[in-house]
Amino acid sequence: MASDQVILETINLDKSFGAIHAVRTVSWKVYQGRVNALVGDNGAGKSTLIKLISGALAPNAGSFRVHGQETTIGGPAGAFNLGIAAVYQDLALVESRDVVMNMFLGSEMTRGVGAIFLDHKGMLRQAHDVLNDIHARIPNVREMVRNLSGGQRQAVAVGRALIRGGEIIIMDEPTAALGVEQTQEVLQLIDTLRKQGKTIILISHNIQQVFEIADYISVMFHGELLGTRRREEATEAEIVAMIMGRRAP
Amino acid sequence: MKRSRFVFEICVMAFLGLLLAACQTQTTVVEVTRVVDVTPTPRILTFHDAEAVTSMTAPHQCKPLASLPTEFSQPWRLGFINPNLAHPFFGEWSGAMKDAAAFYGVEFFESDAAGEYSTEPDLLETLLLNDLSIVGAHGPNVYEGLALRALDEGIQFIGIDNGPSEYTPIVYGIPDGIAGDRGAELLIEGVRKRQQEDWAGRELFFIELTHGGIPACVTRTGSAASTFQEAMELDDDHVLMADLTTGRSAEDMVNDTITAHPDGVFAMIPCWDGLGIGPYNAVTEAGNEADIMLVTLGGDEPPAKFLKTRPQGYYGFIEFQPYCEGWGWVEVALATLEGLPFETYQVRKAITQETIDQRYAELYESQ
Amino acid sequence: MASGVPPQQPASQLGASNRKLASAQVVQFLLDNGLFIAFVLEVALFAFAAPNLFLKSRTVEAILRLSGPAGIVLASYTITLISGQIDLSTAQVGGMASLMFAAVFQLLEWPLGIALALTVVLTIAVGLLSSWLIQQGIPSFVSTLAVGVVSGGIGFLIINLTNQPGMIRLVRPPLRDIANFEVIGVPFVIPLMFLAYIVGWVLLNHTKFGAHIYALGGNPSAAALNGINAVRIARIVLVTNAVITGLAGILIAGRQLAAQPGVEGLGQSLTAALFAGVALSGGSGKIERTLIGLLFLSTLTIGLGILNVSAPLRQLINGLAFVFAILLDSIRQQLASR
Repeated sequence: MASDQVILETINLDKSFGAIHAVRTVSWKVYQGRVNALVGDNGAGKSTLIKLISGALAPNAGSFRVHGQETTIGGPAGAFNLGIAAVYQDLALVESRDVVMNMFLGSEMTRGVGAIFLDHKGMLRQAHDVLNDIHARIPNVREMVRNLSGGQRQAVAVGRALIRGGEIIIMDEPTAALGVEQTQEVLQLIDTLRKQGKTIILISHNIQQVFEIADYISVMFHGELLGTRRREEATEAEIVAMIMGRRAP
Repeated sequence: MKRSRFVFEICVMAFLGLLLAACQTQTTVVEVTRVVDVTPTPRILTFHDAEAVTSMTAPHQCKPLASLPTEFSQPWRLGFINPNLAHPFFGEWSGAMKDAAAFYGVEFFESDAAGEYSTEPDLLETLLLNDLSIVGAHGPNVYEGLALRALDEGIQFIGIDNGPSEYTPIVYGIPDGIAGDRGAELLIEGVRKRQQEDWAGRELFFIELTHGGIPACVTRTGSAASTFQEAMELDDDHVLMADLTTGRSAEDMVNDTITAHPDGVFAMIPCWDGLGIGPYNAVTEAGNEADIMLVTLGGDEPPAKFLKTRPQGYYGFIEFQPYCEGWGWVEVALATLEGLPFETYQVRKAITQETIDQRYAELYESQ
Repeated sequence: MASGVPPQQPASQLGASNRKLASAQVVQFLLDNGLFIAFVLEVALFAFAAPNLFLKSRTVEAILRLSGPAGIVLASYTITLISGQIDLSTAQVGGMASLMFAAVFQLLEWPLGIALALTVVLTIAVGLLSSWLIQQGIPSFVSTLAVGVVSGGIGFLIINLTNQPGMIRLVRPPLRDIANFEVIGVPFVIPLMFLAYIVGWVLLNHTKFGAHIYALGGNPSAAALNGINAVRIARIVLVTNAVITGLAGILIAGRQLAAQPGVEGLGQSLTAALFAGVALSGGSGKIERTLIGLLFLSTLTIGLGILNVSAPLRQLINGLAFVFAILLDSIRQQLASR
């Protein structure tokens, strides 16, 4: 584990919304090809932090380092270019559209001059391939998303992140609304991604689940990053104590 | 998803099938009528006499506008878009057109715009499906489009109160100038009587109640004003105008005029009945009814009812006789189709407080 | 979060839920295909009631003629609805455009091209105003209602400034010939209408822009999170709708040979679109179906006319059609969010 490389680093990231100081000078390292869990109580600043990383929000101060290069994110499109793709808690799926169109939402494949006309065949093929790679069980990729189960939806959203060329995939509470079976499906999905060398940022407040799947566990409290632990070196009690605000020694 | 596409295709095919079947049946029908068209047979014509029409149209006693044969060269089919069957005036047209079509033995098709003139082009499309020989409408804003569309179909358009324009050479309806003149004549009769009595020596004014945005009104009341002015030898300062396009109510304009000339007496003609009766009531409320005399134009049931109550200063009205106007449209249409001469419609009926009871009984209490 | 039927269930519930599923499938089937069935039934009914009048190519032409300009507007209106915007300004924008055109072309006697260009500029301005208001966070149906009132006002102002009696006659050649120009034996608006649907269909189903329109209407925040420029799409869609509405207004005025403040018939768009399954909330619907919805309503108008149904009853039936269309939309919504 000592050979783990840092793929993404935030340096003194800071974000306020009026009087609310959501993220306070956070410097965080994300390790390549690992599941990096980010835990913390409601309002601890997890969501704000990942929105800063995925470009959905712009920081008030601080910077990023990706693959060792100092850079700015500059909106969702900029994040895609850096290989950062977020799977939001609500998955940002369009219920009335089918699996393929959702996977290519905002990055549709085109053919012919001027990138105007859609390449339906190409998208269909790639969607199949990507879903196969992550062992997703979706019988019909022309099915509307509103008819899919929670686990299948997660797969669609992750598939979209992969299609975007996502190397760093942010998953925000992926199992929050799911039953036991589908939760298991999603955890398998995360494992599959890790085996394929993807870097995962996992936000969760289910400690057991985090211990089941994560390689690194980072804890936020009141906008601050209290610390990062390797899973095998940490105990549940220690992490829970950190979530409650007790700074690690 | 496959099943829905299948149903869709079946539907489209069914529709196309119907279309095809429809096209084929239609062609044969057309050919048959065309053959009839080109072979006119010489006939000995007998004509309806005018008295039969007058007695047929009692109590309205319409004078026929054309002398029409008892047998036509073709089974004519007339069509008319009525602007609003629910309106009493236009409702009269409808009844009269149906009666006239039955009397002359031709088919009549009608459509109702229900007060929405802009729907008339759409209604015309439906009406034209009846293989009409001629079509008409009352459509102040759309008649030219209607006429052009009718010409497209190879038939003529005779509107009521429309035109003339490039596509509507035949103008039929209330002749506004004459209507105004008749109103003025009736008013002159009334004013002269009053001048023998309580109006002797009083300063006389004429008030023209009009709407400058409606060409028919400008003609009607304008013509009334000039006829009255000439007959009563008034100078321009004594001929006043209350125009609704100024945005003020007719009631206010008339009351203000009376207040401005406390010693004057006022003769008034409005473009339509209501535009005169409103101000009349306002003047009465102010207690000045002895200083005004009103003659209105139109004369359907509401003013007739009002006149029956003998309001002081409401001398009478010119009845436009919508029934005769509707009846006459059928005659003009048929005369046009047969290439026969026809007269223009006239408004002749002047009703006063002396004749109203009898007229009201004839028109509204006969059944 | 709405979720579909879970893949596995305890055996005891399976029978009941299968039955439920079957009945839901029947309802869904009817919602998907009801319009086609209704249309075929309608044609059959009128054909049975008045065979000698209804089964004629002239009747079919009349139905298509009636559909023409309103159908062109409905094509762009469908796209607008799918993008999640409800445009309530069409009748007034159409009227205003026709008056602007008539004032420049008929009264000032300027060339046709300049009159058209000025009208297009005016409608673009109106579309931009609508989209700007929406961008300020005002719902589209409120924004466009207000813009409709403004457009109506501009129309009346044009009438007033040019001193016309409630309308502007539009008889100057060559407009007359253009309005009555025929292609393959039918008035050109009919092929033009079909062309509008073909273009709309290609746009929605086979272009990137069309995919973004669906996404924006279906889930605006998801579209934004995925890098779709919502403001730009809404602006393009509303401006296009205003321009096409304006051009259709000119076509209608050309047919009537008169331009008037409000254009009747453009208001039926909403009924036809809802009939065809375009969701009031945006994001779903198929443009080829709105064409069927339009033909259904035009056939209704002509059919009722042929059967000589009285005007008040006709209005009632049209009103009921609208109520039924809203009801269908609501049933669809409920089915979708179960």
